[in-house]
Amino acid sequence: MSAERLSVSFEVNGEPVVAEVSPLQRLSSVLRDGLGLTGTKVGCDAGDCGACSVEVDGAVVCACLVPAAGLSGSRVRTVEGLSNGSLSALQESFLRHGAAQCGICTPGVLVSAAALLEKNPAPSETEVQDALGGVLCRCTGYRKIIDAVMNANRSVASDAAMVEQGRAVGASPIRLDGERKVSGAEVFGADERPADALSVAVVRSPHWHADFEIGDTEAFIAAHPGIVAVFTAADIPGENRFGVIPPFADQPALAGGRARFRGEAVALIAGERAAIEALDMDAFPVSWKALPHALTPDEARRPDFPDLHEGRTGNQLTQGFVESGDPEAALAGAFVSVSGEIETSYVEHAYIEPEAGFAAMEGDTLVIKACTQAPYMDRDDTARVLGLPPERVRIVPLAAGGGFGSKLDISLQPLVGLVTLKTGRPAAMVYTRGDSMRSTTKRHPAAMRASIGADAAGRVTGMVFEGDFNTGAYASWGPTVANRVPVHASGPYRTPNYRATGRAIHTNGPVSGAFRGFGVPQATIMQETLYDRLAEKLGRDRLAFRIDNALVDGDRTTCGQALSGVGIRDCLEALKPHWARAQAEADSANAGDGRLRRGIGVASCWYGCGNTALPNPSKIRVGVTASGAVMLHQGAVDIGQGSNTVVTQICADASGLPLSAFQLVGGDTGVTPDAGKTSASRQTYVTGKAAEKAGRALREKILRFANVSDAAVIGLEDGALVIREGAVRRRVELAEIEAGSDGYAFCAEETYDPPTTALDGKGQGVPYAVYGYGAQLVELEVDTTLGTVRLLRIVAAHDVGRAINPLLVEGQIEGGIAQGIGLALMEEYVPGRTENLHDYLIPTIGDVPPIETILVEVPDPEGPFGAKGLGEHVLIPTAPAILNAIRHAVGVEVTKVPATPSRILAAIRAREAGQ
Amino acid sequence: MTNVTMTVNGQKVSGSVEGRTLLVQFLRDTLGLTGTHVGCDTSQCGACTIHLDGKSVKACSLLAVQAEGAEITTIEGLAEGDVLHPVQAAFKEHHGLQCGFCTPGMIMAATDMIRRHPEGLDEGTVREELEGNICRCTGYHNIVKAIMAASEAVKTGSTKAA
Repeated sequence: MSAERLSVSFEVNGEPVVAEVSPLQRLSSVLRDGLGLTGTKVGCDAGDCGACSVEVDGAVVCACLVPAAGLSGSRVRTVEGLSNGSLSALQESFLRHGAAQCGICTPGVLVSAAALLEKNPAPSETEVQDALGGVLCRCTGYRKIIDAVMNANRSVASDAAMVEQGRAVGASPIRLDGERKVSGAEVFGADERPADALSVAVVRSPHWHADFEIGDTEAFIAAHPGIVAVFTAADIPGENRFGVIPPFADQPALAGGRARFRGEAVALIAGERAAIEALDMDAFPVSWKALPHALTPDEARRPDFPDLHEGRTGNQLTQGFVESGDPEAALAGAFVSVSGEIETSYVEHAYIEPEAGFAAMEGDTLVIKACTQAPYMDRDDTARVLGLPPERVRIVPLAAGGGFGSKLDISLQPLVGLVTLKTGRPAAMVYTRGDSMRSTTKRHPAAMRASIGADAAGRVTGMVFEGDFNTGAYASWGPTVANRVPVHASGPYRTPNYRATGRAIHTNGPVSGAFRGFGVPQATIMQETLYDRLAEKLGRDRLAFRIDNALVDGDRTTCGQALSGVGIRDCLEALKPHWARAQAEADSANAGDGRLRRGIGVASCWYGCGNTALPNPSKIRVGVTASGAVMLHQGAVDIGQGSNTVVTQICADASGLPLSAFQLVGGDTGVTPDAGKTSASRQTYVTGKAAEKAGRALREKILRFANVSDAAVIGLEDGALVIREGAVRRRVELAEIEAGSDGYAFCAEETYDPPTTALDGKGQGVPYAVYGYGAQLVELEVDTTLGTVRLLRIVAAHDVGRAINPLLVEGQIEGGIAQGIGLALMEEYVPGRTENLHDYLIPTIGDVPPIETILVEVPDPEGPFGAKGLGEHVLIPTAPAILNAIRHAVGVEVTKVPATPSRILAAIRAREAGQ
Repeated sequence: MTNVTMTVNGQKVSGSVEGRTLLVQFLRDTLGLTGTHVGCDTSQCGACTIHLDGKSVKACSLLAVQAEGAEITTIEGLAEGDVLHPVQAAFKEHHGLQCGFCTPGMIMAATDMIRRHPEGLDEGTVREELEGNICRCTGYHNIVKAIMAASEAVKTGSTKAA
């Protein structure tokens, strides 16, 4: 071989490399000997065995037959590039199926199979055989390899009984509440109703802002047979104000004399079901005097517009603030800086189940059964309005047909409760779709401005953010949004000089409350779209720019909090090969002059799990009955996200008891302790941690009773605990143990509250104990004639710490992305105009493109089994990634979200006119 | 009030209804079959989908009197005793649900779809045919997977739809 050396630059697994090679040196040798990537095996050096198979520019080749000198500018992928910190689905599948024996052919098989699966995610046996035809295996007989490849992308859920004891975490058991959801047996809010229940109709304000007087209700009742009673604010026995954050509670259950938004409840009509169903609501005696109204923060802050609530000057409910360093100086001294403004719209939760439930007396306790996300908060708010001590109100959650934040606030609970208290009869309500949309909370519309600067090396040096959030007529979760946004508005990036202000401003619009992300999805649109412009000004690749600025372990946030277990960089790195492919495909699709233009975009998220700098404890009780059932009092309401299954998996492994022995006791405030609200991505982490502690405590009690060490294995057999440690075997007959006051032979109850601190005047402190991270890549096509967007593919990499149930994690990612698509492209709630599901558009099945999920698992030191929350994270990057892809495709920025076809088209036309 | 008689999940039932009573109200309120859900009342969401004489229809868009003499199947009538229908089994095993509210309607629509396509279903067809059923939780992917698996199971006569 010649001694002459050539320098070749190419890319291996997304990283640029420069290699000094001799003219005929094989790629296999360069990879192994030059670059140390010994995952690629050499079996024959002649192209016969395929053990050295690698991908070069998307094609699978034998690396031993490729001269490295010809690879200038190529992209090479080896087995080392298949996993992203954790194994890929294909690699997991190989393990599960036993597809590797000695393992020497495995890298070549995996690379060939990965290339196949990218083009064809569900290949037939023949297609697998064709794709792997060039790789020889002497051990397996190939069958398990074929199975592993064919099933790599398939859901492999198993029954709880099949989950190995002690291995529930990380398995994907079929959700424990799944069967009754597919059989129709699940009882949602409208599915139970006492036979003698009264129906309740609500008189609502047709005006944005109005004074009203209620007329002769006695005459109204007399004229309507079957109508039993009318109730107004004057009938409310307690304090007529509720709210999820007690110091801000300001919303009357029934408005007294003045209505502050369209759809506000002003009176109740209770009657026999047929009479209520036949009632003409226009016959109700009420007279209105409309008042001037404000629908935007700008209108509400006009000096001549009155304050909607006493003491909230200028209609400002509250303000959140975080500051560190000197942002003005940083921006003034920046090498490049960008500024922008973005507005977002009201977004409706549009769960498919409208609010429903009923109240009834049980002795002197008022029992309310309804769909909810927060039973204890419902109890306390309802008790306050009705003037009852909390223990005389019992909330029994019925299944919630979706919640996404809006079913955290009470809706019908105090209304049916009032009717039952006053009449002594059960009272039931089922909201119509119109009631649900008119009267419950929305995502805050935001008007945001920001500037971000970077130095010549491409490092972000400073940022200033200001956001006004239209919080509507009452407080609800406005304070949470105002405080959470400034903590998160930097994104998961190092931002040494920073100031962010979030304001919640009252208007006469619908009440804005909690909706998956509490304002962070809106703020992330602002920050991530500016990052694209910053990268462009710097001449940097958009993904590389984000990777360079991503937070890593030990970095401090803008609140001064030192982080650990930070996975954002891993998420962004995991997108690299997809980014390169997508970029190349977009370039080639855009080579012509067609009306369809391709674009790709990326965005990140981070999100603190649990309340912002406030306590939010969860308590879990678990007990073993005399018959050997393990009863888990699981109060973390499962609104579809899977907490029933995930919390049980955690408790099973912590206790060492088999998952199949567990039975769930739901979030009934009469029998289950408070596990807090299903909100803020807190249940897997906070309640999961309480379940872990309770499981361990239960285990300890059993082991102590049996006088064995922690190495013992606890089994359950026919009403007995069977404890084994080495040769020792103890059988504990549960029926012979005297039950405690809780009714259990063994019982444990544990509480967990995240270790956070209050924030000081500059927002410095520890607002959250655990954060989760993620990044998404969107590929789309814009029709430049119509302004329409067609999504082609989304790749989502999320750091969940530990995927307690990988299938449920994927389900959250796919569902969150669907809502992110709606936020970006179609969802705009206009009060008075879109109060139904034909004028208000949410994604249908045709709107969600293929989604590839990459689970990144960087364990969190605090979370149970390393887990982090994810429910809200998964929605956050989607909308900004879509907007960035639109800008990449057609060069326009849409500054009012959603980016509807008309807005995109207007932006394209404006740009053409300006040229 | 009018008397209506129909067969629901194999059982002859009758009741007295007003002319304006919707079929879904009759099923839920008179017969107590609350597995059929009401999400919108304006025929957008599909949560109330049932089978009328073997075809999937939205029960909020029919009057009870229109179902006089008809054969109705609701989600409660799909399983055979303790054995789930293959479509139900597939939704369960493929995580084709989260909150479960749209699920009965999805399953009834899917069952009819599979019956009309004995040759099997491709993803495009499933997506097109499910346009009348809205889900707010799942992002639809696992629903499509479940229906395709169920279609395959029905085609091959397998009792298990995994």
